Amino acid sequence: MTFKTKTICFIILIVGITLCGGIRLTLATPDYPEKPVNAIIGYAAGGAPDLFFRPLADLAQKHLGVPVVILNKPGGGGISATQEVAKAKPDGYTILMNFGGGEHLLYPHLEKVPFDTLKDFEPVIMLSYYPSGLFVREDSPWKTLEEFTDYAKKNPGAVRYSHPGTASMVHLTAVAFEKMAGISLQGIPTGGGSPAMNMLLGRHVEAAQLGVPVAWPQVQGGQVRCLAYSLPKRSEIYSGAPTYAEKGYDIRFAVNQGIAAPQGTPKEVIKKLHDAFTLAYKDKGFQGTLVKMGFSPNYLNTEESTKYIKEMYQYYGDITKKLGITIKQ
Amino acid sequence: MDLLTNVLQGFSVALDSTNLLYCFLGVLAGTLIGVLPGLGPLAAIAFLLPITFYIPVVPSLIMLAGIYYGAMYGGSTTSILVNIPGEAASVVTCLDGYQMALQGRAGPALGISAIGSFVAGTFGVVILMLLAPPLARFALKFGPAEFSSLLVLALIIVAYIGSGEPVKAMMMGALGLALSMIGTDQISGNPRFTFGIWELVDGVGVVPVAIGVFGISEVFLNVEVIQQRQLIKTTFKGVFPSIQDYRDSALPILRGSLLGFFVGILPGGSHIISSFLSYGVEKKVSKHPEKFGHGAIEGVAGPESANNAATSAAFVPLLSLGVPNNAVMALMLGAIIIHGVVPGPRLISDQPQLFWGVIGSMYVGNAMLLALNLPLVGLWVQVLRVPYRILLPMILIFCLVGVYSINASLFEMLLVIIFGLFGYIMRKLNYEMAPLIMSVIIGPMLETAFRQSLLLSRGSFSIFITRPISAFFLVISVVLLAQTAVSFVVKRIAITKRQK
Repeated sequence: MTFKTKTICFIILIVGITLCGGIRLTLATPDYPEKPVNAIIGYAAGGAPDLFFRPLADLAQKHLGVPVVILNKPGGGGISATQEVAKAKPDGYTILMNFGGGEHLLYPHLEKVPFDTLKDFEPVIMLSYYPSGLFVREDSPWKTLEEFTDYAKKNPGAVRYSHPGTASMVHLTAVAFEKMAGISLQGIPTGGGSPAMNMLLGRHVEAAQLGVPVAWPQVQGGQVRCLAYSLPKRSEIYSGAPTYAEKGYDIRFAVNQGIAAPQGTPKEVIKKLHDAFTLAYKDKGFQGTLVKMGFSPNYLNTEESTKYIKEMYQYYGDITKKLGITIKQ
Repeated sequence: MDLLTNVLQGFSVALDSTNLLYCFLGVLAGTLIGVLPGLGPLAAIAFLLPITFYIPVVPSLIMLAGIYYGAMYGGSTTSILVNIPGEAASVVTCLDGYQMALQGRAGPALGISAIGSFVAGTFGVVILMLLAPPLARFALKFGPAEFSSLLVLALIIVAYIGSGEPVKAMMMGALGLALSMIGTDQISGNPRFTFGIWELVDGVGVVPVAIGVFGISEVFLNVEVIQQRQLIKTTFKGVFPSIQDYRDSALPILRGSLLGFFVGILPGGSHIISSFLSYGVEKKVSKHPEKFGHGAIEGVAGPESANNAATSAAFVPLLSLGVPNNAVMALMLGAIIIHGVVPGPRLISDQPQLFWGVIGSMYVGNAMLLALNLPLVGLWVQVLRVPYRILLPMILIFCLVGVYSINASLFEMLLVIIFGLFGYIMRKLNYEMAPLIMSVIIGPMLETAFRQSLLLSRGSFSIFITRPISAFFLVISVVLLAQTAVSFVVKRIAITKRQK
């Protein structure tokens, strides 16, 4: 009996010492990465962000040398996942994918959120973005944004448009346009891009505000027309359609696909992550994925990304204040 | 003759050895996912989507489609055997399927649901093949006003579903509606009744509620009773449905197929609603509605057919317009896009291989499922021989793991347990759980559609009457309500007279 107890104590001691030694060892050698990296996505498996980041993570792990494990934590429009990463240990083993969406840049100006986009995160890389666009059916009388605006001006509240969801980046693009153009439209939230498109095609509404990638196949199929989209400059992947900017409206709303680490993550770690994801991004196969998804390339390195996020955060703060955009209570 | 060449091309694609293999993998995975409580086709397809990046688009879609309709076959299994819906669309199957099992007729119940699924699935594919583009254009006419009226009708059917006291069924229905109010207000974007809990922003999910009030509470209820399932032994007399069973089920299967297909093509329509509606219709048209809830085979045959027809129908808008009409189809759209195929009205002409190949595979897949599921009936019935002390902990584990696997959320596990306890208490007090689940599912859909309609009409309620399809559903609803009220009054008068 005593012998047994002694043995157990001895084993515990040995294990304990080994563990402590092990921990000391990891602290002593900053040989990042030495275990799998958890990449959190705030959206469900199979959604557009998931389809974009999974192949990217697959490629990045070859360069990083450890698996990059995609974890889907859907909830609250990406806010639950953002909160989780904001509170995670800044060791480079937990990173946030899909950084730079409406929940990070726009929503915090409208509603209290459980994180601070600028203070809680270190942007690692920005990869691409997509704009929001105004669409009408091919048989619609409005051929241009001007014709649309003219009609809407003469008939306040008469034009109804479907959109994916209240307070989403896509929806607020339409609200900003309304305010700038001095028109009044009736928005119908539908809970997603496809239902909004269904409503437009089914002639229940006159127009739709949609993420451009969602609607582009229908543009190509000759069912709908894009009157304007919200990038500062035309992108060749949305050929033929104009931007709001060239029509005189400074609307630069875009949903970004970027990666961020929790604030305090060591510089070397961020560099390693950046380099691995840059190589993954430049992969020919991935560039193909980008085009198929309908996202516009917008590669920025760590420094540029940090600047870009700060600028865009400021931009949304200013524009919501200037135009008086709020969530209706 | 064009059709014939197309169909032949479809079969030649579907019968290609690689595609055949993926079809088999899909339907097998689908059956298993259907059997596992919690894990439904939506979650399963989402998990498997990344795998399809590495295989061509035709086998990808064939496999994913197989999972979807395969899950409808598997979903009824646990409903019938242990009163736990394997899939939300099989909630109503619990009502009569489990009663049949208690009466020793688990075999016929499982058999008829496999056969009904096969007939309905095949029926759905035939219509899909013949009429996809015009049907898709028709379905688009179905806007928020039409959908809200259809859901009002569905809600009235909730009251019919219970086999106990209608008042209690309605109370549970109302509670379900109240629960469905939790979460983000779809129209204004404001969180409601979330008490500052971010996890509640998306609302109380259907899966945690269903698994809680059916699965967990079932385990609790069974822990109390000491092994008293000698009834089950009689099961082995007839594993397969009798001639009478077939006769009783023929019309429900036919009606379920038609109804399921119709609901399946609608925007926002789902296989879940179709099964509820089918149950309500069967109970309504039946000559012996009192048998429903006590093991009527029609109550299994109808809904199980309807949910399968709806899965085939859901492909209509996706393949002919490129616009998905429900969440599962949205994932399929993702699978198509990631392979560089442009979805849209030109898909059928640009990608005949894909369109006709998927259709061909659905015939093959449904046949495979029938061949897979009928022999399994005997095996599943054996599950009932497993002693409770082993079966119950296993059910508990499957339920909890199933729920966790969907969103990896501990909060949802907590919800499951809370609803398990709630379900246990309420079932002890003779409240039925099916109306609760139905309301939790219908509530958010109805609210959104109703408020969208009013936004479209700028606040005028006339939109529900002036649109003919909407008016049609409302008239049926009113007739149903009036009929119930009249028969209630007549009965009361008869009783008072007799007492005098």
